[in-house]
Amino acid sequence: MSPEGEKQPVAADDSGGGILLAAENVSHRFPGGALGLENVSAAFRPARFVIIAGRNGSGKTLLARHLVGLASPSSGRILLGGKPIRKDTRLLRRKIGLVFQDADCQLVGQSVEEELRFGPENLCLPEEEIQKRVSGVSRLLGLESLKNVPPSRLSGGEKRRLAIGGVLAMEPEILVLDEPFANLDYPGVVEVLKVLTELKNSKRGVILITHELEKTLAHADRLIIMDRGRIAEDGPARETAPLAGKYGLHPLDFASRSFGEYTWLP
Amino acid sequence: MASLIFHYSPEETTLHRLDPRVKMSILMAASAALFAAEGRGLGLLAPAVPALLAAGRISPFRVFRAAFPLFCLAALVFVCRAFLTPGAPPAQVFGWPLPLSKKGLVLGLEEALRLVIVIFLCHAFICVTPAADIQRAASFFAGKKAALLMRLSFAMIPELLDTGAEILAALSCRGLSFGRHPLRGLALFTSAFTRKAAARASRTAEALEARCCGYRRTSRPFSPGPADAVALFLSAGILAASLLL
Repeated sequence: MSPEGEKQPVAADDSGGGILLAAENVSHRFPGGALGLENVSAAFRPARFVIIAGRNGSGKTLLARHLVGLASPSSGRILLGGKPIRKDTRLLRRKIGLVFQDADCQLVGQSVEEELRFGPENLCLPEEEIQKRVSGVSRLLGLESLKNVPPSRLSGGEKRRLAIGGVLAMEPEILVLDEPFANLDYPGVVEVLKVLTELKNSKRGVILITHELEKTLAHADRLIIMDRGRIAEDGPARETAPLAGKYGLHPLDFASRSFGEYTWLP
Repeated sequence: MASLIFHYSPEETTLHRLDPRVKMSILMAASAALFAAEGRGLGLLAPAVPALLAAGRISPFRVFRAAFPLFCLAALVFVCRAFLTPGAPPAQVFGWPLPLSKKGLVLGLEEALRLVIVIFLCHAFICVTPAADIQRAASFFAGKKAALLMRLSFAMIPELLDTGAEILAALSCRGLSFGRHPLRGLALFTSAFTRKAAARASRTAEALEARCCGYRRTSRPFSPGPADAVALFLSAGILAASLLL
């Protein structure tokens, strides 16, 4: 952790292709004066699975909002493909998709199909392309049989899958998922984990914001731990995970279990 | 608790399959005709409502239960009209002379009936037309910006009703009785509803922004068929007859 006010170098995993998205010394000050983020620097490549973990109030969700341009930094900047994001955030949102913690707020369609069509229609894609994307995402997420069902009648796990599908249909290069396991029971968690595995297999970039490391750690290439608005640890998942307990996260018992066991997938 | 009114209800009926422009034109024309028609004309329009509900597989009892406050409003309109319209008083009711007039009773009945028919028509329209189709039709009639506003309104109304129902349930679970403390209940409900509705609207707006929502978007092409022409001619005939009677 760097001292207060000191600028951090942009951190990124060295493997893989070029950097797609980066936060450069991003700070966020709330109207009351409190600091939500302080000199946060991180870079993200496509096709990588990154977990951002931290306790409640550590700034994870705020960072996600900055990464998709929903919040403006008090200082610092967000770079897309090396270029700073200014007022036009449409390109950023085409490339970076955000799945909100509260799926209910995200679902605006009145049927599953309408919900999946919503994003691609906003991108003004041709009808054939929209149909192709909707059927592809329905197949990937197992939503084919629910095409005409209103989202309000879906279970928590199905709603979360639909929320992910609605963003996936826009084909972002990196998908940011904010607490995808919140308010889900065990079957719901398993459903979402299966989707995450599919995403990882499809070589799509995923930034997963969670404090439930034990469920997803086995999938992760990189782990960022946030603490009080700053990046406390950032590195390969295997090396960084043992430090999680230090920051109030679930202490992972690496002595008795192997790394690959840190997933609930059946 | 999900509200039961103003929700799209997916079904495979002819009404659901009709061109949204046709449905919207019929709704607008019927609403205008309702306020122009009188007496027998209104009597002709009233049976069209159960026919529409049956065709769209919409339960009238469900609408009645869900829109109870709106029906109370219709009853209030009737009572106000009946008591406040000057004219000769009707026969005594159970021997009691009531300060109502025959003219007031007829006017009150007509106005309440209009209101009830409008509630059922609007509910039927929303039940059989998805918000995306409402947006397409509104875009055809009123332009893309107005259409987006309309779609967002239709998407938000059920959300707000749900929020209101949740708050009422939470207040009653915590022992608040509206019967005993109506003003306190109203004050608590209003403040909680305003805060929650604003927070929900703000989160929904962010979610829409994150998905590039704007008035420029791909619109599915309209595909009118023979059923649309039949519906248009049939409703035009009924509405014209109601005005001429």
